[in-house]
Amino acid sequence: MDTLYIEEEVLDHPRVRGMRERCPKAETIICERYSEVFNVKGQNFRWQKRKPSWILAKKHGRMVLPTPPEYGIGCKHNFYFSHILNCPYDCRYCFLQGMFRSAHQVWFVNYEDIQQAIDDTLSEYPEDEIVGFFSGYDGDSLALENLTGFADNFLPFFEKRPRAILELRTKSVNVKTLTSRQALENVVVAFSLSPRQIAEKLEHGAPNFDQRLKALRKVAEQGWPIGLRLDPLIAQAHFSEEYQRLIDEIFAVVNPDQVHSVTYGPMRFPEAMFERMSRLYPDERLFAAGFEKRDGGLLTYAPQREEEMRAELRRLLAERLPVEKLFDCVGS
Amino acid sequence: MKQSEEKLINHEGALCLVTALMAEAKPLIDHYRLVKVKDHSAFPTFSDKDGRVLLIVSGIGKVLSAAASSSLYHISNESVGMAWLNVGIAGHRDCDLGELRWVNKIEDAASGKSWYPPRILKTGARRGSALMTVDQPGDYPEGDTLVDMEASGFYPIASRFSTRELVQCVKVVSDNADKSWRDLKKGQVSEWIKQQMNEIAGGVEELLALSADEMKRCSLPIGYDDMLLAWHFTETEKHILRKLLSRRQVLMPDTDLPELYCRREAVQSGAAVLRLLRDSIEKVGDEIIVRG
Repeated sequence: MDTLYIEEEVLDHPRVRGMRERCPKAETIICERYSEVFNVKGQNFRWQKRKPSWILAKKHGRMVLPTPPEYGIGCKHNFYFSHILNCPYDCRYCFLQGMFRSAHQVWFVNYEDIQQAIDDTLSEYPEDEIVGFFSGYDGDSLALENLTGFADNFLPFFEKRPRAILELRTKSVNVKTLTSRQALENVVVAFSLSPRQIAEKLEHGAPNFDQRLKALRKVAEQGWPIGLRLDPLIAQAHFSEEYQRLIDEIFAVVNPDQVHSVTYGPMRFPEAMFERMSRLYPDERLFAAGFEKRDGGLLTYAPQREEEMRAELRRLLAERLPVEKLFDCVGS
Repeated sequence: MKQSEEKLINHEGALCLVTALMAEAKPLIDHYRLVKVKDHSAFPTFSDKDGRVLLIVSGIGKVLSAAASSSLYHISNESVGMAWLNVGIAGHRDCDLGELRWVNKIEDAASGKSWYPPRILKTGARRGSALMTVDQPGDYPEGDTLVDMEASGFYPIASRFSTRELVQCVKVVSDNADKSWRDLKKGQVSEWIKQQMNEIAGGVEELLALSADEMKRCSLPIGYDDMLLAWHFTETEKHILRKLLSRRQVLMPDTDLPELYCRREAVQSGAAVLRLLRDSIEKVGDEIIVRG
């Protein structure tokens, strides 16, 4: 790590001091607000991704937000929160590259404020209602654990709040925090997995399929509820065979009883987001696909193709798991 | 040497250097074998024979630096994807004279506005400094902060011409609390820049490579210009044509466009061209999004 941008307000924060001690040679640049660096116009996500810097900041405003209505894993009410923006990996289909102007890694260090916001949200619902919280929407929940200590900090918090379900969503193999402690029933460790050919061609910088499967097995052996995240579904040669192989390989290392939930859904982007992504990578085959505009301005595959992919995946999964555990993120 | 504007810019990567003083420019002119571009006299302007490195001398102050940057942009035919580098001297309270720093934050003392050139170059990593641009020389800022008179004029203007990653500033310390700027000699300024030429050239090479990538990213798809000459397209159709040709280039890289030209007589409108293109792309595009 060569460059740390630090908001003046958090210069003395213990987590910031810890990061500076771990990276004593990093160049430190003081800014007033992270948005001065992260949100300014005229930046290129693709070029920044070659050498992203870190921005250490304080999260202000609404820290816990409702998920899109179609997204959930069984709870009636679902929320997400972000201790980081962006991800160390560079998956070509990732919407973050179309959502953010900068590829810098933002880390919000005021965990206690986020936890207070989670408590405030929980208090809005009856004592007997289970509420879902997702941590991997704006970045990978575990990939930077060695530096952020996110899981280490939030697991004890959720341990004391059994009516809150936390989803840790990851492509990383950074699971030591999980394998070195007792599993929690209300924390779902969700692994994002794609068929091998997709992982190899599009998930740049992420651990390869075998490494992820190995991490999944370790976490499952420790007793954590496992989530399988198979979105986005990407049109590809031998679609059915590729997903059959993926599912076979997953269930060779995890018992179906231990799978908490599976989510899947096709690639869909708001038009402006898709434009930004495809302009970043005009030579990317993925973006040259025959996307169609749907109502609401979403770009996605043609309805028939999309439906075929969803139906096929559902069929393959239903051979292994009860349908109650399958969540189509677009909705039927 | 007189060069036509069309040939001035190399479209496989180009860099615009902006200096305030001829003494700062001289080592760069020598190193890159730049020659004066005689057509443009508002500011002394130079280029190498390949149009890869251009240089303009602005004079002292942020207004002149912004104006010269703008002038160079227009001289380059407003080319997309060029890199920009402000090279010059700066003061620093306690840095050694002749030391080089890459600028990681620019603050304009008059307005209080700040800019942050992205630190993506390997050259000069971990050797950056903040910089304050002032209107008149005065006291040195506190801490590890350089002081100059141009960067806050150069940076916001140049970053309108190119993406911010391609716009950088590098400064050589020319004065400090022990050695006043009043004692500066032209020859010494040139000598300090010359002594740091290896590192400056390293940054220039990285920026040129990045510029080449950016120019490629922004380039028009093959066949676009020819098609505009062969058929009439409305502005909306031009936009669609560009997208379709880009997709075609990705999905059908080994095929050219002979069928359209062979049927030049039969295909009478831009709209008909778009229909044919769309049909040809959809035949393959839907089948092989990710090849097995």
